[in-house]
Amino acid sequence: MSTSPTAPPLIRLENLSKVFYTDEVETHALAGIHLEIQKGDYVAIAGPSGCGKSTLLSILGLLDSPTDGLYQLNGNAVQDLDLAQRARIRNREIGFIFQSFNLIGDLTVFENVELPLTYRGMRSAERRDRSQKALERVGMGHRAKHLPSQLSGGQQQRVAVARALVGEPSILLADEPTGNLDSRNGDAVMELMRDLHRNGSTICMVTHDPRFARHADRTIHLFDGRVVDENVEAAAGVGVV
Amino acid sequence: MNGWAQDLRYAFRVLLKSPGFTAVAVLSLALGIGATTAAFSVLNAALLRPLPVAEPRRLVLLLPERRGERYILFNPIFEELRRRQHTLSGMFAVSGAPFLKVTLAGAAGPTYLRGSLVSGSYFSVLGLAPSLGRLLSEHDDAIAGTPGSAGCAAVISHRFWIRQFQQDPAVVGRSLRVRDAECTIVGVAPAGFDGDQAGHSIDVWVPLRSLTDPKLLASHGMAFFDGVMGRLRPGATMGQAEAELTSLYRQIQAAEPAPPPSSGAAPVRPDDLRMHLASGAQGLHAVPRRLGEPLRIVMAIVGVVLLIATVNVANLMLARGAARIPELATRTALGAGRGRLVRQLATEGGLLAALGGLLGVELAYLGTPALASLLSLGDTTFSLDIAADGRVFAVAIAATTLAALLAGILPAVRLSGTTLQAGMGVQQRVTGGRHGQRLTRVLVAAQLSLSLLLVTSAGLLLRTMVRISGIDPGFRPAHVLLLDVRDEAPSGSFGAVDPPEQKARRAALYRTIEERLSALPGVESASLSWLGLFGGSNLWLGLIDADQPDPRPLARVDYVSSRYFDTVGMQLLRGRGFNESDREGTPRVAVVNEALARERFGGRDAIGRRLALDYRGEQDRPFTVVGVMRDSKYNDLREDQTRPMMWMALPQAPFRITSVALRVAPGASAAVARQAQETLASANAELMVRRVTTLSAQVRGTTARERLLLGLASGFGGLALLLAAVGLYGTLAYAVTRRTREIGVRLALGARPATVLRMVLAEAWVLVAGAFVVGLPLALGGGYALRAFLFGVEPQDLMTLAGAGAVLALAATLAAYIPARRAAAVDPMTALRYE
Repeated sequence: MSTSPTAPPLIRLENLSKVFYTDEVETHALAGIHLEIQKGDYVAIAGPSGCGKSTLLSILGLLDSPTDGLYQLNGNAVQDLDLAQRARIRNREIGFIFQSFNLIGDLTVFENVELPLTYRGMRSAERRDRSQKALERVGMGHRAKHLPSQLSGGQQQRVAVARALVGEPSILLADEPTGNLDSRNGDAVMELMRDLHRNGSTICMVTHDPRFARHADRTIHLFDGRVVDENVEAAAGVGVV
Repeated sequence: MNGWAQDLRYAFRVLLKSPGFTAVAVLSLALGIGATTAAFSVLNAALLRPLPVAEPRRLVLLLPERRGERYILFNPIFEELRRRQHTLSGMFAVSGAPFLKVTLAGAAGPTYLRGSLVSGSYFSVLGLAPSLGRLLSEHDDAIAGTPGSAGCAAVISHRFWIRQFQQDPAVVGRSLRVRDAECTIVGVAPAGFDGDQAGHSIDVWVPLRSLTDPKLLASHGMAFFDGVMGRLRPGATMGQAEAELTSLYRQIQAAEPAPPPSSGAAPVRPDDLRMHLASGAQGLHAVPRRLGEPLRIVMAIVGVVLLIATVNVANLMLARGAARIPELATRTALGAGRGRLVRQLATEGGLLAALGGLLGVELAYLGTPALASLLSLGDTTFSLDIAADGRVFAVAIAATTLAALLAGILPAVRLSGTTLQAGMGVQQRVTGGRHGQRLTRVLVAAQLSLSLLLVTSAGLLLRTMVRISGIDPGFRPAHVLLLDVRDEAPSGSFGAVDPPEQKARRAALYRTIEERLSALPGVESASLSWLGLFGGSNLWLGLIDADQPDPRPLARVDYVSSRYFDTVGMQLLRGRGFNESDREGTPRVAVVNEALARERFGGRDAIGRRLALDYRGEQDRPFTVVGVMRDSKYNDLREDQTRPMMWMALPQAPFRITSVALRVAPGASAAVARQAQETLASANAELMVRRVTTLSAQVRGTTARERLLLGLASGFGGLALLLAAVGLYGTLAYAVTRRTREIGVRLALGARPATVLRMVLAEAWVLVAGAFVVGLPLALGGGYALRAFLFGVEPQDLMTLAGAGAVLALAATLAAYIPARRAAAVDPMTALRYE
């Protein structure tokens, strides 16, 4: 599903690093990361605990800033933007799927999905239309008026996916999306993400589970904050790392 | 028992671990409990504490009524009632004399003591025994000089005995001159008994009949009693006594002579009369009448503050307790039942309440004298005995118990319930939300609603004071010193006209005094007057127009010296004021106000008109109007319309003066006050100064109750608002902490920090809106309760309500701003962190 190799990458990281400073310790979470993600890619970031997966994802999602290096999104450097600019890009270009789903308990399923569009200042009718479509797309249209607490874990994650999709972002960033699910629900969510990918979505997923990493076209292995390996699958879901 | 001790120890440890929280909670409760205890101490001293006499519950107040309104009791009727009634074992009348001229043996001159003129049965009806000598008895009622009279007897108070005579037992038998009568001290009242009214300590009691003019005693038209009390006979009820006394009152009135037609007074129909009886356990009713309503309002205000403080602590306990859910869940897992958890949490709340109560009682001890002083409303002779008694401690304990129940039990029950769910290990897959916060929000809204009540009340009183301060009194009160004086020179019998030579002497004396006072350094103008402005007098006389004798409309009158108008700063509109040539023997002249000119003479000029007083010896001696003064206020800035008034030249009718006014240079008041008193004393020792004040203070004094309530409502309203703001801050800060992850998710989804800031502020505004809706009826009720103190503003004034709402919103916004800022600064990465 990738675009032509000559097209500019959707995401480009050059020599990206992230250092955390505490009183006495300097921790290099990421060092010298080079990465390109093309539009339509399905990339998995894998590695053991503490290898920097989540740090990388948070930088990709503009939740955090790199200490050094270049980060281009859609050809624009975004590593030095202020809070408001980053919020705007997050809202329009990035969709998040969290391990803990992170649905807001007081809001109905529909309102949770509608939330990113609300922050975009979109008109109510359009929000309604797009939110309903997003819910239909993940098979949760019939539960729009329910509260998250009334749903199973798998259903909650589907709603979270709908919320990530509703703004038609350039890329979906998924952080261990099956981490809080049993295997049956985990498989169902992975299947849903594969469907999204087949239909053109660009996905970058963090996982420590090789079984789920296999669903991606590419798997980038991190260790101690560095890319140590990269596998490209011929056919998603069948390759062996 | 072991478990309780363990809970208590643990509660101490928990509270010590969070000194900031503990300090805020204890201080909140202490302020609420302290304010309640202090206010109740004053209310108790003024309204509830029984007189220190035998069986005070058997004492009754006799309150005559005519057509349901308070009426007056003339001495002959009182004497007749006392003689004929059977349900009371005794009755007495009291006529207070806060400034009783007394000359002690060996003293250089007379002085003022706080005296009380009472029936001889006073002490026996009260059931008191002397500390020394004897007390007054009915034998002392015999008028001095009449058969059976042993002379004027006087009883001094125990306090005065110590202060003046250092408890010298030989005081009995000493003589003292009371007014113009030679009296003998026959005994000392028991220690602890200072009089029959709270706040008014008496130095000396003398028989009313000895010190009162016989003509006044026999008068059926002049009343001079402050009150009449009696003691129920054993077995008699108040209802029986009321029925008997009412019946006798009507019979006696029926036998009274009808008023002469010339008096214009309507005859009193016996059936219109009733002798209403009320409990006399607390003494005469003057204090409740004056302070009852303000005290009840103050009690209501501090009650609201207590409620807010307690709710505030309950809220803080809830917010803080939620952070301890894991600990409580562990205890549950280890086998603690819900009751056990409630007990432990309630012990912490109870401990906080107990500490707050102890500190509150200490604060009350420190603050009660100040509150009592405020409630004296500027009356320097008023001093309540505010020593705490059982009732005060009972209220302090009740307030502490209320605090313990609300701040201890409520959060304990709530948190223990939450803990059971948490203990069951429900996995959290949704984030944030306001689950479990409904109660804290309701409590915050309740605090804000109650704050709205106090802020609105303060607003209404503030607007009242603004309106009053904007009123033009019609004179210039600034820089005018007033000396409240009494000419204590012996006078003729009641109703007798002073002989001409006495009048001439007095006129000469007053002229001399005016000249000497005018010559004092710093004095710009000096004047003397019979009554003066804002002195509380309300004397009306009929005026006879020489050209049109009838009708004889009533007007206020005063006799003033030549510089009076200049001194008080009144404005002459037409003609002239008084001058040096207006003396005895020259044509009698008067000055009238616009209201009199308008009402009496319509559009015609009043100058040159001749008006006489409809009073014995004056009807055919008219005054010629020589000037018209601009209308001015007389006794109260809130008077809706100016009443007709006529001033006459004091030298032409030298009535005994009661007021000296001095317009002084700025900054010269203190020196002039001292010199003026010396001048008066040197001019005539009988011209005694009761007190020195200023015209401004006199004017301000008429709104003392409103200013007192404004001060208290503002102070306590501000405190309530602060407590409510602390509550709101605590609730929102906790909510933000609890919702950090949710906020992180929102930020991750593209919410800008400003959006999050607004979101948190909006929560505060929603609470304010809810509080406004709930608090509106409370605020309207508060305004209604204050209606007697409002002027120029309706109890339901929209602008005040809107202003109070704005103050509430502002306070809430300020309180919410820090949590809102913290929320806006949440790191969106928290969304990626796992539980």
